[in-house]
Amino acid sequence: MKGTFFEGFALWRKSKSHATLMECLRVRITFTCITGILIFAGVSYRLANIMIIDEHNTSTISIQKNEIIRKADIVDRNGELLATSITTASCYGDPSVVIDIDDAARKLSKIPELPSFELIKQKLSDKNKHFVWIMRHVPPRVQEKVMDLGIPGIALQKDYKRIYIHGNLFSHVIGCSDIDGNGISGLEKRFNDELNRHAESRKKLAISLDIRLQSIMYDELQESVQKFGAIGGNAILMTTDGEILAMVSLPDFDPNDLSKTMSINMFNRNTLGVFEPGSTLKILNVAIALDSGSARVNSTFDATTPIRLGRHMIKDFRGKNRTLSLAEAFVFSSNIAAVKIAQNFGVKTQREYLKKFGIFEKTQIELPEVGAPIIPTRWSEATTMTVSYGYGISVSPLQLITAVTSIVNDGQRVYPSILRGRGRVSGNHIVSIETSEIVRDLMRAVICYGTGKKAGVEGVDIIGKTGTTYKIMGKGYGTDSNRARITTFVGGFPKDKPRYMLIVMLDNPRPIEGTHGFATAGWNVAPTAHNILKRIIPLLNIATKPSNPDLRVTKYMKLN
Amino acid sequence: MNKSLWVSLFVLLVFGVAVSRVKYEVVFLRKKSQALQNDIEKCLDDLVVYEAEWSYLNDPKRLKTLCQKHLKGMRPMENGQIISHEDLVNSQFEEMEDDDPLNKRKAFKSFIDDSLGG
Repeated sequence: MKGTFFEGFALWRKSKSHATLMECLRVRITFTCITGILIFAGVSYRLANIMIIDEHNTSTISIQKNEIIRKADIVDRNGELLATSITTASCYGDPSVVIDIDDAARKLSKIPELPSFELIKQKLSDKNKHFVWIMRHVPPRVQEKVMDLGIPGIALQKDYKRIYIHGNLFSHVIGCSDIDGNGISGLEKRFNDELNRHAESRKKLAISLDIRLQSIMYDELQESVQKFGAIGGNAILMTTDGEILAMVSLPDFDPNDLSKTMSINMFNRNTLGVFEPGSTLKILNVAIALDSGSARVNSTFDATTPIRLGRHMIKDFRGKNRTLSLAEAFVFSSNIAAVKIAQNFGVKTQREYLKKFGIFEKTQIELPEVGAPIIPTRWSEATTMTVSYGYGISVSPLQLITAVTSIVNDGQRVYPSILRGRGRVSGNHIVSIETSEIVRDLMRAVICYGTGKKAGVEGVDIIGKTGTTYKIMGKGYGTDSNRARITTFVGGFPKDKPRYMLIVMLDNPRPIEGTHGFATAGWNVAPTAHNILKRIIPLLNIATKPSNPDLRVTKYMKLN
Repeated sequence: MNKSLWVSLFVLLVFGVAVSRVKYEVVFLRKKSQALQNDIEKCLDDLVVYEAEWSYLNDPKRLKTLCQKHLKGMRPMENGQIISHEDLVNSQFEEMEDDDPLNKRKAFKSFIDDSLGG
């Protein structure tokens, strides 16, 4: 074999000339050199790439196929934590990697906390997918079990779970988030982007609510709802600077577990619900009369005869059947006198003032759930008459308390806020300081001598006004047998320079033992307001002093 | 020509080794930094849990239950227990012959200072 090769080579050499042979060798050597250089260059390039240029991923290898962002915390006005995001792990699968879907599903479904065999199998069945959630927010012990199984294509990913530490307490204000942490109601929805943006810097969203006041209001309101058999209730406490300190709406929900929540429970009665405010709107009616100069506190109005309005009669509830001064009309809550007061200033003045009070527009507040008021499209003389005692127009409780606060706050328009330090008071006066003082005196007289007696608190000059309205049922207000009421108390303290304002409402409270068959505001929301005020006043650092029964308005009142 | 080639190759080699060392140093420090960052993240995550637990422990409803259970004989504070500073001065020194409120306040201040040992 060897001999054959060399013999062949010798024959080949003999057949070629020397020059041709050399040329052939030169080509071969060049080719070999170029090939060697190319290989060497390739290897060198790769080495340099690995050693110098290439950015190694030195961090722990983690698959972040579905990025979950941590949201910033929400705290109350004193820094108490209300909502936060805690780190958890979620189990996911990559169906394209899972070798035996049946086996994987069977093994996983043996862990009680994980979904059923069928559900896991269904999730993993699409081999074209590269990411499916098996279970979100897996408890630590389940995490261990999943890792122990060691199924290829099944792994855990870092995740964040939004938790609401105080459960139902702030449900309507803070709202709630979906499983990915996206806000779906309340402040969580309104500030979703901001909460996501500021999570890294660990900034916190400080709201104006105070957990202590919120808790007291929640307790007392819940107790009253149960005691009076009401279907719901709501209350707001705010400063005269516009900062909301407490806001409760019942029924409520647990934002940590939305699976058991009915949609009606997520309805924020304070901002989204609108209602006919009834006699509480007489505060606005009287303020308009006094400020426009159409009546004085001693002006008198005949309240002996009910007024016919179409098919309806406007009459007083337990009326005095005599001529009443404006002060008496307000304190005894006469509908007849309220109509006559409104007729004096007329349609145009009423509309102008109500607009200034912010009644015709949605209240501006940092919550997504804000209801628009229901205003008649055609404002007739009859509308002016019904609006004078709080019917024919529907406003939200927040709107009502904001308007009343503006009047008693020396007439300076107040703009409410749910964020700490964001309440605003306009320098412009919507009613004069004197009007404001008289209205405060009148509201104080309601507590001393009128329907708000049960709301009074020893040692603090509470001001207020009650209102009872019938709910619209179909086309009317129901019959005597099926009427449903909404009772309201709106007030504040201390009288001379109010710093805090409160509105309390109950939806369809029932007469109970001790209310002598009555279910009007003075018998249910007034004592509820009393219970709230009694507990919150010590926390608000309001000094007590002997009440001064001498009001400027009482000289125009016959009190017996 | 040959000499300069060798020198260039040597310089290149030294430079390559130096760059390689720097690169590995950076990789090492980055690893360390990443580990520290992970530790910080973990601590912050733990801190969030502690804060949440603390807030839960301070839940007013829970505190109310604990107070009712353990602080027997104590009642919630009432509004009558708060009076203004002026009223406090006047009530403490109402027997003073001097009616000047400023003097009463001074007397009250010295009374407080004495009480505090100041």
